[in-house]
Amino acid sequence: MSNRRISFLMIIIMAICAVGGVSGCSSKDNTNAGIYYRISDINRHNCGWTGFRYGSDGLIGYMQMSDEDTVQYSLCSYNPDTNEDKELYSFADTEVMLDYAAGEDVVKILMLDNSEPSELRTYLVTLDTDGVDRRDVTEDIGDMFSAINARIAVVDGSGNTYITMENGKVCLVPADNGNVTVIEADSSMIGMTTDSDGTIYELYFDGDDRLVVKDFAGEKSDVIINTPSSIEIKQVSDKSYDSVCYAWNSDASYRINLQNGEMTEFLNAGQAGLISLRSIGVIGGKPVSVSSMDGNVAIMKIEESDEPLKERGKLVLGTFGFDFNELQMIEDFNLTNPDYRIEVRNYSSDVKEEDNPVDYLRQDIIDGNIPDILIYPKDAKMYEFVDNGIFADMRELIEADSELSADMFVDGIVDIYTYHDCMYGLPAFFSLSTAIGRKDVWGDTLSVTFDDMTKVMSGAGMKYLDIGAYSPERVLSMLMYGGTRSFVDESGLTFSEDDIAAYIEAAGKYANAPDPEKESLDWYQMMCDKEIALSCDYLIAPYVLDRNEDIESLYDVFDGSNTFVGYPGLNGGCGTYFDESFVYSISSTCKDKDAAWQYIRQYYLDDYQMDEKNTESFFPVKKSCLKKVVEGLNCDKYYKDKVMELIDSARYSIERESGIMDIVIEEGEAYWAGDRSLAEAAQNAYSRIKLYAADRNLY
Amino acid sequence: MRKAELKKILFILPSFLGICVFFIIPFGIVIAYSMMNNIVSKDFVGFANFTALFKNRAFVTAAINSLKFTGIAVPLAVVLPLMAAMILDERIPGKSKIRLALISPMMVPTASIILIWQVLFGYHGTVNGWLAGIGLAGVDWLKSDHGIWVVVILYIWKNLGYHMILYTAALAGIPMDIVDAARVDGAGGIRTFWKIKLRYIMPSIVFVTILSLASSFKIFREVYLLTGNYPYESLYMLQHFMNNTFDSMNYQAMSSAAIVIAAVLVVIIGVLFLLERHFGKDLES
Repeated sequence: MSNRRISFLMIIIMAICAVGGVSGCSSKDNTNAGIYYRISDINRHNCGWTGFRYGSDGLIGYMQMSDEDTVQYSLCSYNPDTNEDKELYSFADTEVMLDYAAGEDVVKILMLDNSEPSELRTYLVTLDTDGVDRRDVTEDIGDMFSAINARIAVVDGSGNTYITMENGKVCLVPADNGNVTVIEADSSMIGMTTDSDGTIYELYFDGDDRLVVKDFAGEKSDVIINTPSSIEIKQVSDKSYDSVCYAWNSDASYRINLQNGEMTEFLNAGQAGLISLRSIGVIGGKPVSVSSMDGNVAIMKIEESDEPLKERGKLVLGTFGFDFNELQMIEDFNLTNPDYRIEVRNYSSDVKEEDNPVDYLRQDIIDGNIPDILIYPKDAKMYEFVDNGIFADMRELIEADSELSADMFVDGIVDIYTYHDCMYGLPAFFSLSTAIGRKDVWGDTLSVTFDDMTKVMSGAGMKYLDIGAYSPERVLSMLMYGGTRSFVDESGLTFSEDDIAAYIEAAGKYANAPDPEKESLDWYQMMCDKEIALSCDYLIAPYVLDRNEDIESLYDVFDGSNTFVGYPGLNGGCGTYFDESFVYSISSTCKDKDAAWQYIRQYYLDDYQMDEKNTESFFPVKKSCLKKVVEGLNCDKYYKDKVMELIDSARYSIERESGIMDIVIEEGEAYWAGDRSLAEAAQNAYSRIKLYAADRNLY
Repeated sequence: MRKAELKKILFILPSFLGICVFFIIPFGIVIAYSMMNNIVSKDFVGFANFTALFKNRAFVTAAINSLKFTGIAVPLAVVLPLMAAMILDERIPGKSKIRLALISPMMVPTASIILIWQVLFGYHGTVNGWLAGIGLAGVDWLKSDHGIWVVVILYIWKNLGYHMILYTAALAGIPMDIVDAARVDGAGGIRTFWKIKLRYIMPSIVFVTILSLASSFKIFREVYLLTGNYPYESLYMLQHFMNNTFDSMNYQAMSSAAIVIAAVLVVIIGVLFLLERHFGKDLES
């Protein structure tokens, strides 16, 4: 068990303590008036608890243990008071557990067994003081598909087991494992639970997303709650506590108390386990929430209060895919913010192959259903939405922040995301696309023109731009993005027809022209072999500066003999452009922009900006953190100064004008293929670009 | 209200509701959008979007190109099918086969037609092959000012058959006794056409003109499939502007453009109806 993981769990639990509004913890480890926790290392190698149930003497979990060669699955009990675990049943290699449940002094396991090579059988295994009893329920459950989807819903006080099957069918296996009865329940049933008097209820959602409880004998009660249908009933309690069922979705978990078929409470029982496997149940008559990671078990007593649960507002976060870090940020926010919780709307999930996820967002915008917060990749072409007033100006929110201000961030990035006087977004990290060159050829320059390039090429007898052979299309985009600060400004297009001709011609000249005497080398070969790298006659080579270790490797493999020259351009310039990571924005329709900013600001705080997981791939956007990261590079001062110089000089981002680039490439292709003269290609491109810029309102 | 009137209203009601739901209300929404600053805050800005529209180079280019295209294509789309119908109205051999050949483009999907057109008018296409065969330089048909003629030919080819059918029906409706009487009185073919046939088929001519006008303003699919969102300048039509502004969610510009186009079409069609009334009044009497 690593210290990081323990810390991680501690953070979650402490956050839950904070949400509960209680002070202190009570247990051997800590004290809390309403919530206690204990973290136990159960001293097993590589083991994980999942799917907790609650027996009369504590917690029963399904445990996976593994060493280098084998994986062993067991059902174990864990007593939080004594911090001891005990193996109840060890699964054979041929056995696969489907579900399990605990009754009074009895544990039931539903499993598939393929020990008979030609036949897969389903067994209900009873563990009690008399030992282990296997009851073959294959024929009762039906076909294999039904068996795989079967679950144990309830083990009642008499030891009878109710197994839910497909289409609302329930298989009642009596305690003595005698004749099985198949009961037809509601086809939309999602779970079962028992009341303190032993009455069994079934739960289902009606057509209007309301949770309904019905007496399992068929007596229907009233509708008990309006609740989102995304909530799934995952677990019902054992009867040692008042009738309770537990439900959760991706945002929160809920405890639903029932009494005589009526719902008496619907409590938010804490946040759901986005990052750890979590379960809710009853120990010693008290509801608890349990989390587990790698053998550590955290048990949290759920605070019961007479106070009605405070309704929290909802902030919808629209995203195009995110990683573990993002999930953790959302979880942290949801755990700690008393007023709002984040609901995720991922536009990249369930997208058909031919669809563009941005079109899904577009539809939401048309429907007036704009997410409050948007996280998107920089190439999502969001700038189109800026003119439509979809984004809020974040500058005011940043300036009102006690710890942050706009001038704390890299100026170039802030400029890119300030469009029509609206700072509509801010990425947290960025990388730089630039070109490296030999110091003995280029000296200390950071501005290479096409003329310089031609002169040096002829002087050095070199013919090619890159170590590897790039296509003219690729070279054209590198040259134009690197050599042109921006294709459009307030007064119109920043380049002329002649400029386009020059770029198209240069791209054709520098691309696909490897030294005929030598094989083209690729970066991988070069970075792996110092000798190859040093003997290579490259003039300029494209390079994306992102990973710190790559910069250090670059420095190392060339022995510091190279420098950053940027892409050559018509008029020189730094020839370097930003390549941003995910961008964070707040929509203008957001109900509480301050609350949304409270979420977004997490990305710009030092902890996140300096997090190794992020800085190993990108530069932080916050200047102070950036400085620390660059200073920490393992290379000489010249190299570090050059990196900072590039960042200070780079201004341009691909996203805003990629449509223009597409047009130039398309027309350039006709010239390179010999179908059109250079003048014709440039004229066509320019004519089309003017239209593009005009109908997109780019200036 | 009298029972008879109520009955009339009840009969009209379904159609009226349909027209409201599918035409009047959507058009009202378009008018509302044209006077908003954007689709989010929806602030009223009066005619600012129209002012911006007429200053927008893309819109002006599209409008000029569309008018130019309409000016060339519509007269041809009215006259050529009429000539074809007149010829096929005579006793000529292989009449049904010619008619079938002229109608067949209607049945071919646009995407397939475009494929043929690309083969014909691509830089390395058949037409340039023919030109090279007679010693002439190739023309970049789709990326030069010649592009509009490619689209005009495509438009005529696609619509000629349908328009011809309309004319054929109109020609069949001319009372032959009047034509015969004119011939007996010594009127020649040209005189008969101008004085009698033209008057009888005038409603069809007006109808075909309106159809051609509307479809010429909506020419897009063909050009889009041939040259994409941002074609060579001479091929950039109003529907490109509409499509691109829709794509960039600039609904206010799109709605303003739609209203301007609708207004222009209403005026032109109104003039056409006046002309029809003028030329057809003695016929009606």
